[in-house]
This record gives sequence, structure tokens and C-alpha cells, in this order.
Amino acid sequence: MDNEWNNSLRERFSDYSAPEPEGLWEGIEQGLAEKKRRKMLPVWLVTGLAAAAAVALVVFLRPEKTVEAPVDTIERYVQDLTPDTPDDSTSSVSEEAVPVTEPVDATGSKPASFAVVSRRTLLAEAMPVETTDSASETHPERLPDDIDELEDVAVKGHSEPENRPDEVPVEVKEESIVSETSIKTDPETLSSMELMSEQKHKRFSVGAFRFGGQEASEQSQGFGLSRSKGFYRTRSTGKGQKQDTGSLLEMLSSNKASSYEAHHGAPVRVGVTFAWEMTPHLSLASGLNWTALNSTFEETAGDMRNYTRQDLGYLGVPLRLEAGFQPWKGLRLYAGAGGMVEQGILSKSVTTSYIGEYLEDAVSHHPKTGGLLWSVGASAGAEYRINRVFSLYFAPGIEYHFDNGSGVKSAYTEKPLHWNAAFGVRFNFQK
Amino acid sequence: MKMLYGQYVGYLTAVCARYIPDDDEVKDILQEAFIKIFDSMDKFSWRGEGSLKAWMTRIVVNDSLKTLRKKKTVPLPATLADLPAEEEPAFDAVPLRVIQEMIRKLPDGYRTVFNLFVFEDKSHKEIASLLGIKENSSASQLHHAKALLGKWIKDYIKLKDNG
Repeated sequence: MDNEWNNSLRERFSDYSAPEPEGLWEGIEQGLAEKKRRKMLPVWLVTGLAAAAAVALVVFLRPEKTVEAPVDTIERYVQDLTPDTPDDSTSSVSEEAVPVTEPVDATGSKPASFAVVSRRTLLAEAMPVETTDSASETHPERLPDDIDELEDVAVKGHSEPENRPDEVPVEVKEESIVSETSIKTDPETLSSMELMSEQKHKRFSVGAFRFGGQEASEQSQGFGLSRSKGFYRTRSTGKGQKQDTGSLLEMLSSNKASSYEAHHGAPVRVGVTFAWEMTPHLSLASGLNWTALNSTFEETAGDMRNYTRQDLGYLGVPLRLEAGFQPWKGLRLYAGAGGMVEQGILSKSVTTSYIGEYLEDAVSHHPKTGGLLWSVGASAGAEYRINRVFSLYFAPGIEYHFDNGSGVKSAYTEKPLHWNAAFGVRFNFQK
Repeated sequence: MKMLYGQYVGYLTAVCARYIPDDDEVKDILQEAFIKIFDSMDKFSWRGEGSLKAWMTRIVVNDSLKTLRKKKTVPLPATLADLPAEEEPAFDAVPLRVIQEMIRKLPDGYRTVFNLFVFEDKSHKEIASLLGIKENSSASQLHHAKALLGKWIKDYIKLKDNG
């Protein structure tokens, strides 16, 4: 009886409607708009935090610090080059002079001897760069820029060198102004060159991502930290000329052991990626990435040593096609492939030269990063949704960078095919 | 959204109004409930005809109960224990609008238990768990609700017959 009465009443009320409260829809619309605004705040808050974290990573995860030359060293260098420098000019020359070595020419006809000023020119020749000489900007007596000028200074500065018993006299001749084309290679020294290559891989990147969600009306945006490791090292030892930045320097002391080492440190990439869901399982993603590359080059010849720190910054626009599916609730598996075009925005190279423990010189360059740098890549990943807003993802992948012909060496050029692993937190939101 | 709203707003207003006698509160609860519905449509999984209506009703009922809990009006002690136990009132001759208003006029505790038992088909055990009362309190309040409702229906029919 009870049940009958209950069921009857329930049934009668099953389609019963009451007049809707006045202004209810307007209130709902307003409430939804307000909620959307509140939702957007965390998006930008998290975006800001991620950007700050990315900047912090770029700044603090640099593996090596730039070596800066003390100002007094540069001034001293200029003094050394100045003809009217009083009595100590001779001793300076003898300190900085490169020891005369065995003939570079395979014919052995002419022994090569060089003034110290040539070394700066050698670097300039080895790396086609725009040179910004801090010393020339700050010191009234500008450092010479071209070969002729260098020669003049060298001749004046060392016109009458005072030989010391334990020093090799410096002799400046026309042939001492070296260029790559004027030097003949000794086959024996070349054959004795030992080339070693050790490569590891270390790389960090931070990204912010947004992608299509489960429902047609849903999108998501997130932040990620991606990291891949890469440590590039090339080393050569031996005598003679190499076809890299160390070759000319080696010539200066070709009878002594020389070496050249390049370290391409951990590139750091940060970025924001947005994705548009084309179908429930397919999305197209693009965005903006910033990649920081740093390298160090160290070349030694006898007691001479050049240390170069190079920092490059590339701004990139990726385009990527992603396909995914949900095997279980909360878990999304996806794979994607695409390409990226990058443009070098920042470049700086600081070279410091040493003779023994003596810091001789510091020169700042701006390597020309050339035109657009293209790359392709693919990755597969998994995303686990912690709650409605945040999810964790991990996506290992590979990428290949094409050479843009700039001649600037970096992790991109030394190991164009490398793996990376992106991981992080993704922020999801609805339309 | 507007279409969904238009289709169900009348029904959900009636559901909410059965729990909440104050019209302003009904509006506030419905507003929040609809925002919640539109905001969490991704959580709804279609389980056949009527599942959407049932899901939306559950949201409205839950929000109504929350409001009542905040007001600490549930449960209400039995104050009409002296009412005679009567048979279920015959409501066929009474318009639904009138019955709806009678239900709204029930004391909070009676009304809540009555709505949950009759319209949401909850057992006394479930009601006791939902409202934090004992099962026999739930049964008692349902009994009183029906008794009071029966009295009002009789009065209404008598008034209508006389007039």
C-alpha cells in the first residue's frame, strides 16, 4: 500500500514543472563567465611560474661559467703592443712571444716565427665572426684590427728585441702573417694526428603545453619539463695543422704537443605549445620555444692555451601532429611527429688566451648563426591525469637538426641526431 | 546550454522547491546547480534514457540538502507525535500544484525525509546516513509528514466540496 501510494505520487510528479525563477538564466550566464575568469587566472599564474622556472633553469643550469678577462690584463696587453712603452716593452715581448718552432712548411724552407699579436688574428680567421673588442672600446689606444696593422704594431713593438739567454728571439717577417691558404700541410704531421671523439648527451628543456582533451569541448594547457642528456666532446692531439679553430694556433708551436677540445653542454629548451584538437584522437600543435646552447672550446699548443665560451640562443616555432587514445580512464597515450624552424637570436663568444698561467687576452665575438635552422622530430608519451586540472606526462623522443651552413659549432651541429625526454606537469582546462 | 536549460529548468525548479520553501533560496541553489552541471558535463556518462535527468536531479537535490544542512534545520525533532496514524491521503482529486505547495509547507525535517523517501526512492537507512539521523527517526518523520499531508489534503478537499 505504502509503495503504491509513493509510486503513484512519484509518477504524477515525474513531469511536473514549476515556473522558473525570474532572472535565473542571466544569473547562470554571469556565474559561468565569472567561473571562466577564475579558471583563467591559474592558467596564467602557472604559466608565469613556469616561465620563471624556465628562466631560472636557463640561468642556473649552465654547466660552465664564462671566463672574463680582468681589465688590467687587457690594458697590459695594449701596453705591450705600444711602441713607446718604456723599458719593459722588451721583457713583455719576450713573455708573450710564441716560441719559434719547427718549420710549418713541409718543404722546411722557411722557419716560421710569429709575434704574439698574430694570435688574435688567428682566432678571427678561424671563426668568421663580428668582433667586439672590449679593449678597443675602452682603451684610448685601440687594438689593431687587421693584419697589416697588427704587423706594423708587431714590427714596431719588437723591432729591436733584446734577446735573453733563456728566450727564443722573436722575429717578425712577412711570412709570419699566417692565413690558412698560405700554409702547406705536412702529410706526416697530419697522419700523426689522433682524433678522438667522446660523446654523451645531456639536455634540459622546459615546456608548456596545451592540447585537445577527451571531450570535443575540452582543451588543456600544461607545463612541462623535458630533459635529455648530451655531452659532446671532441678532442684531437698531435702535431701539425687541423682544419678547425685550433689549427693555426697549433702551427705556432708545431713541434710541441697540441690539443683541441670542444664541449657542447646541455642545451636548455623552454616553450609554450598550444594544440588544436582536429578529431577526438588527432591534434595539431604549435607554439614558441627558446633554446639555449652553450659550448666551450679549448685549444692548447705548448704553454699557450685559448679558452672560448660560446653561448647561442635560438627562437623556434614547432609544428607537430599528435595522435592519442585513452586505454584507461585518466591515462592517455600519444605519439607525435613534426618539425621546427629556429632562428638564432643571441650569440656570444668570449675567448681568453693564456700563456702558461698568464692571462694574456680576452676577446668577445658575436658568431653569425646564419639563416633558419630546421629540424624534425618524433616522440611517444604517456599522460596521467591527477585531477581535473593537472596531469603528469612523460614523452621520450628523437630529433634531427639540419645544418644551416653557418659554420658555428654547437650541440646541434656536432650531434644532429639526438634523443630527448620531455616530462612535466600539464594544465588542463575547458573551453 | 540554453536548450538543455530550457528542457529541464521547470522540472528541476519543482524538485528544488519541494525541498526549499524560500523562493530566493531556490533560485540561488538552481543557479549554482546549473553552473555545476554545465561545468562538469564531461563527468556525465550516458547510461540510457533518463540518465541525464537523473544526474541533474541528483545535483539539485544534493545542493538543496547542503543548504538545509547549513541552516541546521535537518533533522527536525518530531513535534507532531500526537497526530493519529492515518491511511495515505488520496491525492488524485488535488492538483499537483497544490500538493507541491503542501509539501513545501511541511516542517523541514518532515519535508526532507518525505522527499527523499517518496521522490528519490531512498530507504530509511540511506536517509539516516544522508541526514545523520537514526533510521527510526527517519521512519517517524515520514509517518508524521504523511499524516500532516493527509490532514491538509482532506481539509483542501473538504473546502473545495463546500465551496
